[in-house]
Formats: sequence, structure tokens, C-alpha cells
Amino acid sequence: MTKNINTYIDALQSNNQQINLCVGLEIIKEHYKFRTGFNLNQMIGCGISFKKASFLIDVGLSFHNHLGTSPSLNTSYAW
Amino acid sequence: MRGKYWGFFILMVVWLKVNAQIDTDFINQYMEQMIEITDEDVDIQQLTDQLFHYINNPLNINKASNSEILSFPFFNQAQALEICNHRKKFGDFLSIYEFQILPSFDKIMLSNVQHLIHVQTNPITLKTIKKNIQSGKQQFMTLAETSAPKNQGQIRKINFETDSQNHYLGSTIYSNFRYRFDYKKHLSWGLNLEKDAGEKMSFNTQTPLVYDHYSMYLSLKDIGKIKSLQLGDFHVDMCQGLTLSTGLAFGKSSIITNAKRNFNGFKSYRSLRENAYMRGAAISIIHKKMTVGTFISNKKIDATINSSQLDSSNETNTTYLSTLIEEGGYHRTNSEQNQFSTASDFQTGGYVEYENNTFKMGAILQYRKLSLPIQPANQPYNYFTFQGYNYLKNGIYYDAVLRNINLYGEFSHCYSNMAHAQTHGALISVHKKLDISLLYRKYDPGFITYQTNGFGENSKPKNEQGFYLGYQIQLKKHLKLVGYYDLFQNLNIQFKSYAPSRGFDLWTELKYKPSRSFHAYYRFRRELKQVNSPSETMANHTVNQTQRHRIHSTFKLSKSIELRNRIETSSFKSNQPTTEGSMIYQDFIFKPRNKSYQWSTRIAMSNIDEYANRIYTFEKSPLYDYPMFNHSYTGIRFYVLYKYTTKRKTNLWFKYGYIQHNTPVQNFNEQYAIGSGLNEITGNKKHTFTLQLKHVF
Repeated sequence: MTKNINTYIDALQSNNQQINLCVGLEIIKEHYKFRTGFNLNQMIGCGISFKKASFLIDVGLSFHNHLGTSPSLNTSYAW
Repeated sequence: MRGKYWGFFILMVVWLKVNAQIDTDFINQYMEQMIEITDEDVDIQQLTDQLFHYINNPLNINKASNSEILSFPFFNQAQALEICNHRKKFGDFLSIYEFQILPSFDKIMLSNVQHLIHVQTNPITLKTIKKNIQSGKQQFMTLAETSAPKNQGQIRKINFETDSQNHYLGSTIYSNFRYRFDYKKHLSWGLNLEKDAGEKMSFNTQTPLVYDHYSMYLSLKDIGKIKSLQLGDFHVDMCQGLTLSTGLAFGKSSIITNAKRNFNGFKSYRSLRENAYMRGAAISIIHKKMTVGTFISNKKIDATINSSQLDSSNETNTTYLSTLIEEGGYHRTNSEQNQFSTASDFQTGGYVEYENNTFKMGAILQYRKLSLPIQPANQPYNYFTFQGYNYLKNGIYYDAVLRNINLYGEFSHCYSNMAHAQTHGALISVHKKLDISLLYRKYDPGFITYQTNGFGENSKPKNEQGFYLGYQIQLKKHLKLVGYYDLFQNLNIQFKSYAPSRGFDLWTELKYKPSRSFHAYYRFRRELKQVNSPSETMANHTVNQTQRHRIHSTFKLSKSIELRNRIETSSFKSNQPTTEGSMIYQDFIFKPRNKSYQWSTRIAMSNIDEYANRIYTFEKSPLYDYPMFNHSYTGIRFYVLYKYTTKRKTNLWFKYGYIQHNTPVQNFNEQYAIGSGLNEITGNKKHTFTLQLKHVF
């Protein structure tokens, strides 16, 4: 959308299933990335990402209407 | 920094002065938009009053709190946040034209709101009011509405001697009378009277003013240290509406700021919702950044009374209230008369609030005592529902503006049954082209929901958990995408759902407005909800899916002629065969310039398989009259509204409405019925006549 805002849209059609649409938004602010999105399979999620040099931390939270709330934490180092 | 903008401001002043005419069309459009987004009950008197109030009482941008700016209905989320931040950074606005330096304001927006805001800083005291009270305005308004042919309630009344069945006691005419005095927003008093169709007008102790419902108020606002003083009938609406809110609020909608309630204490009751108010006194005092308020109310309330024996050995009957009537207020038949003011209702409470430039937080307490205990129907879904004479609730709330983010929430607690309810939300202006609204809520199954207005899927905040995500994206200059996605769960069993259930609600709207003379939008809505399967006796859910598409366009042919068209379809899927509904209408609105009259008319055709496919539309109506029409049948709807304004500020509205049912609807009987029960009329054609008079002096 702009230099600091990205949007993602993904549609998936499986056999005998209704089409599932996923929409995501990412806002970039210096070392941080803020993300939120939803899919029509009854899920809403949001998260924060921090990246400095080769080091990356991702913290996320998704809320699924049937499966409940799932927090996640990822760290990575690339060289 | 401001200096370089002054040249531009002067040009704007010249341009805006040319257009210096209060644009009530802008307010009307906003009101239509607000009402059209909901198919829930709308308190039209309250909403109209709230919106038109700003014409005579523009919002003082320099004096208003953040909450007042965020709740100003004509600012969107980004604009409100920008004003709060700008004020905090640079101090008071020198002129409303300074708004032009805010990125989210353009000249069209400013010309629309210029008469609804101001930046003066003169303090108001009692002396000022005494001096200027003669500049206040008085207004009276009366409305009468009737329909033909007679309904069952009236026919039974005529044949009463040979027919002992229940019937209406009064005439078919609905009538109301309203008088008010307003000195700006600071001092007002008024009287409201109402009689529903079928109700009797008589002079007795129950109805001392002849009309079935009467209400009076005296209100002082923002005078010195008095933030609000209410005598007579008044509303108490606090924060997010979980602990106490007697008014009405909007539900989920594409106006994403509606997810947040902007309730702000005590205000006069000017509506005609017959049980939803307080009667007594309320006062709130502001000192620097602290506000303290308290209220006391004692009145009669409508309720259904039942009695039962505690056990077979005890011959004493216990009397209790099976239903507390919060909406309706009909007293048309003998059985409805028996519900008239059957219980006494005492309430008291108060709140303490701290507010500075960026942050507001407070606490509220409410105690309520009824003369008889509430005992709801003995059903499994009422297992957690409150029972008893009295209850005590308290809540804490917060509202903060942090740069381009507005965080808000409320946590409420019922002492009587230890149930909780909470809601937390954020309005985020990510970019001038993108606004987001997030809201999480969790309401216990046993939460006491009398006089509440919490946001959610259910009409009352109980037995629900959910997450709401709303968005507003300016895709191109003339193209905007708005909508929301809401996930919800019912945590326990409830009416029509004998197991915990889930669902979602998706709303998307694409708006195209290339010029002031044309705009169009496409709206899609899909709701999915689990309910009991009607064909099975055991708790076994089926999934109900409702899907709606709408295309709407508005085209101004000239300065005085406007055309509106709409096509809408709905489909309803469950474990039964899918049903469909569709509706098409054409509006013609004629507002000749410099003439004292205007009229609008509509012809609509609908084809509806069953009630679940019903389609709501907004109709032009006399001011304060309920404007929503429910197309729940196959047939025709036609209306014409004529408005005449005299030079002495008298307005006259006349509306004629016509309904014709062509084929039976599955849910109703097979006689093309219009209405049900005592409201059902003979035949398949109905005519409605409405006349309203308003005079300001």
C-alpha cells in the first residue's frame, strides 16, 4: 500500500470446501514489524516482529473460534 | 510554523463564507448511514436529537475533552485522533480553518462540519445564562399516525359484546406531543407525551396527563463546576455500557468507530422508550481533572407478575416478576394493562473519573432494588440468569489517546452472583489511508444485563466471547473499502442453542464517490451461526448461514432532484432447503431551492421466501419518526413524504405509506396477512397516514 505498509491476500479453494480467504497487514517501523490479519476459517491473529542485524524475534497470538488462542514465539539468527 | 498557512486560511475563509449555509443534508445523510447499518432497534429520538443538537450547540474544539472529540459523530477515527494530538502539541486552535493543516481534513469535510464546531473560549456561568436566557429557543412538535383497514384488536373491540376475546382498549391513532426549551447545550427543559396505537387516552392516577406515557426533564450542562445536573427523567450512560447504560447504542457496523461506546455520564431523557430511563436526580461536579457524579432514581416499571406456591405443604403464594419489560411499553389490552407499572424500582449510584489530555479512567457503582423478586422462566438456558430483589454492580474503565492509537475498555463486576464482563479495544489510525479497530470482549453467562449496552453479537452482554477486527482503507481517491470480521462464541447454552456455539460475521463494503453528485457502493455480508437443529430433539447444532449482497447508487440530476436506486438479495441456508429474498427500489427526491416545500417518494418491490430473508431499508420520514421499514413479504411498498416550511419556522410533514402483500410468506398464515396477532389486518393492503407539526419560537 505504501513504503511502510504491506497487505497480503490469499484465497484457497479445496475440494468440497468453501473458499477460504486470508487477509494480512504488515506495518513496518524501523526495526519493528506489526502484523494483523484474519482468515474466513474463523481465525484472527496479530503479532510483533523485531529484527536487528541478523537476529530476529517474532511474537504472535492467534485466536481461532474452535481451537482457541495460540501464542507463539520464534527467534532466529541467520549468517 | 502556522504562519505559512495563513494565506491559505484567508482563501479558505472566503470560499467557505460563500458556502455559509448550514448543511442539514450532511446530517441527514449521516443519520441514514448510521441507521442503515443496523437491523437492530434504533432509538431514533435519541439519535436525531444527538445529531441535530450540534446545529445550535457547536462543539467547542478547544474546551472539549478527548472523549468528546472522539465521540463527535462527524469526525472519523483519524480526524479525531489528529485533533487530539495537534491540540496537545500546539495548544488551542486559533480558528477552525487551522484544521486544513491536518492531513485527514479536506475542504469538503471542513465545509460540512464548519457550523457544527467552534473554537471560542468564553467560560459559561449561571450569570451568563441568566443574562442570555431570552435567546433560548422553544419548540413544540406533535405527530399523529393511523392506518387502515382496522386490525384484529380494533375489530374485536367493536364486537366486544359478542366476543369476549382480548382486544385493544383505545383508538387506532398513534400520537405524541413534545415541548422543549433549549439555551444552547447549557439549559433545557421539556415535556414528552406519547400514546401508542390501541392505547386508551384517559385522565386517571396512572395517566395524569391523559397520554399513556409522560416524561419531564430539567437539565443543566457545563456551567462552571457543574458538569451535569438532571432533574426529572434522565439517562445514565457510562463508558462502554457494561455496568450501566439506559440509552441505546449501535451494534456491529462498517462504521468501525461504533465498536467503541462514547458514553459520558448523565444526560436528559428525551426519547419515548417507556421503561428505559431513570426518574429522580443526578449531579456531576468537575474540579480540575476530577469529576464526581451521583444519581438517585425511584419509579414504577412494567413487568409480568406471576405467583406460585413454594411447595405443596405451604399454601402461601409467592409473587415474583417473570419478565422485566425494558422495551415496548404497550398498554393496549387488558393483559398489557396488568403489566403497567407493576413494580417499584429504586436505583442509586455514582462515579469518579480522572481525565487529562491523554488519559481518562474512572470507577462506577450501581445499586438497584425492586419491590418484587425477579425469577425468570424455569429453563436450562436461564440457569445462570440473575434472580432476586436487588443487585450491586461496579465497574472500572479507561480511555487513552497515545499518538495515533486510542485504547479503551471496561471491566464490570456483579456482586450479587459474582459474574464479570469485560471489553478492551483499540482504534488505530495506521496511516491517513488506513484505520483499524480491534475489540475483545468476554461476558460471563450470569452477567446481569439490565440497563446495559455492551458491544457484541447478542443483544445483551452475556454468555459471549469474541474478537472484532474492523478496517477502513482509502484505496484510491474515490474508492474506499470498509468492513469488519467478527468471531464470537457463546460460552454456555442459551435460547435456541442447547450447547456452547460459535459463529462469525463478515461485512465488506466498497464505496465509490467520484463527485458530490454521484456515489455508489457494493455491500456483502455473510453471517454464520450455530443453533439447535429444529428437526432433532437432542442438542445437535445446525449451522445457519445468511448471505446478503447490496448495490446502491445515489445520483443528483440537478441541485433539486436526486435519484436513488438499490438492489439487495439475501439467502438463508440451514439444514432445510435454501430460501431467497430480493428487493429493488427507486427513490425520487425533489428539493427545489428557495421553495418552502420538498417531497420524496419511493416504490419498492420485494420477493421474500421466509422471515429469515427479510431486508431492511431506510425511509424518509418526519423528523424523529422511526424510519426503518422491514421488507419481510412478497409485494409492493410505496410512500410519499411531503414537507412544508412556513416563514415563521413552522414545519409540516405528511407521509402516506402503502403496503401490498402478493403471496403468502411461509412463516405467516396463508391469507397474505399483514401483521400478526391483534395487529393483523383483514386483506392484503394497508394504508398508513402520518402527520407531524413542529414550531420553533
